[in-house]
Amino acid sequence: MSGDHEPLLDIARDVLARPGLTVDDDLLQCGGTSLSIVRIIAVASRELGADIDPRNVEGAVTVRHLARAARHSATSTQPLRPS
Amino acid sequence: MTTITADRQAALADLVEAVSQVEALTDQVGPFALYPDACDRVPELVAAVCRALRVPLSFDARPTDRDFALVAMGAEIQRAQRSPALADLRPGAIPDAVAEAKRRYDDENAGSRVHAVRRPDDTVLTAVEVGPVGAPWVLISPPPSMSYRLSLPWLRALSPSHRCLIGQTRGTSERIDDPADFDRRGSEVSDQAGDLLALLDELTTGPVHLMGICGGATVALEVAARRPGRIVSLSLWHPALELGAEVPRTDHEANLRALVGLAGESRDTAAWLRDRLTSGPMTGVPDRVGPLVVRPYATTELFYRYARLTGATMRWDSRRTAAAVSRPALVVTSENDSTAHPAVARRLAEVMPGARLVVTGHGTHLDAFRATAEQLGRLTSFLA
Repeated sequence: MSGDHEPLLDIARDVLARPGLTVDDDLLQCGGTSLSIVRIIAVASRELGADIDPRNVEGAVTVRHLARAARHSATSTQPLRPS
Repeated sequence: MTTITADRQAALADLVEAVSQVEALTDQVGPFALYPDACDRVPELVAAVCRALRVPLSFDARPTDRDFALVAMGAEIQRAQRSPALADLRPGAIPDAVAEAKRRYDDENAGSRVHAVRRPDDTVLTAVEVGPVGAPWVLISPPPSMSYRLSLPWLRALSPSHRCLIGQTRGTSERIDDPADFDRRGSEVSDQAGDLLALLDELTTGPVHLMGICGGATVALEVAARRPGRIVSLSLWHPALELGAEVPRTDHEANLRALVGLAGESRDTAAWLRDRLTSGPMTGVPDRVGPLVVRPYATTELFYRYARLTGATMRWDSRRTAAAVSRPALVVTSENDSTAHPAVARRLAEVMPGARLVVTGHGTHLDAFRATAEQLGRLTSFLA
């Protein structure tokens, strides 16, 4: 996900219903809650194959920082990956 | 026995309430470990009160990889034991303080009767009854998976004049021996409605007023539709149910529905989601009742069950049932409820032939559980 935040940004915009959201907006300041953040992470896992562990997010919860915390693995067996 | 000041009595009552909020969890999963800082000021007192109340809590969860569901589960005990009224408690005074705590606990529980009802699929339902024998019955359908203690204000407010019965959702009170039993027994709305019907048929007699609170409204409607001869009236408080795509949902409902849909797919998925949900502070956890609200997140198995049970009620289309309930109905919500959209209550009142709608201009979703004087007056007027 490095370099291209658009797919994750689209998911965050959709979940938070904030079409104008940017990669550096603090999601918790834009209507985000722990439920909605985890929903973003779950959708990203399903649709992008990105495994985001919130513990690895450094600083504010932004799309940029979520993307930085994402781990991709083609062989991952984490349960939310598409089968 | 030494005299205990009023301030200290109040602080002990607070501590008893905090420990009691975790009691249903330990009843189901057994000994449970919270973080050491939940009892950082008077650990000996907290440990002694837990022993006296037979709530097997320990305070030795490892602080590494902090699990914020555990933090929330311990938050009320932490707050209560930090009361200034307990700060100067000498070791020699602990036995009297524990005796006072136990007396308060016993007093609170003295007026309640606990029932266990076994269903044909071997599910054992727990139900709590309060109020005088011979008084009019009120049966409460609480939100799936939520402890009856969340509805205690209603039980306390109604019990002088009504005989109240509240059940616990299947799979959320009895000990967990084989987790697979839960899957075999079912968690759909038909199962949950069958449970409430069993409580109605086995524990109550004559006419019954049915209350549905929040997500409990779905099951209450089903029961009201199936037993019109027993259910003489229905009140729905801040109802959260499915009435079609044209009825708006709050952001909370949309997010919760998506997450319980995923978490209910499998225990592995529930574990994955729970891990991420509890890896940081959980937003929206209310003061005073936080452990009751967070309990479904306390373990992966409970979160999975919560997801299955709540997902079932959130998906269930209640339109046909609502239109079929012709008994007098009171539907109450708040303009400011950001958890269960007030449009649901409005729509319900439109499609239910005998419904009266009350929309207050203030209040939050948790008002559904508060039983304020205004709410009690509204309900008792409706029941009269």
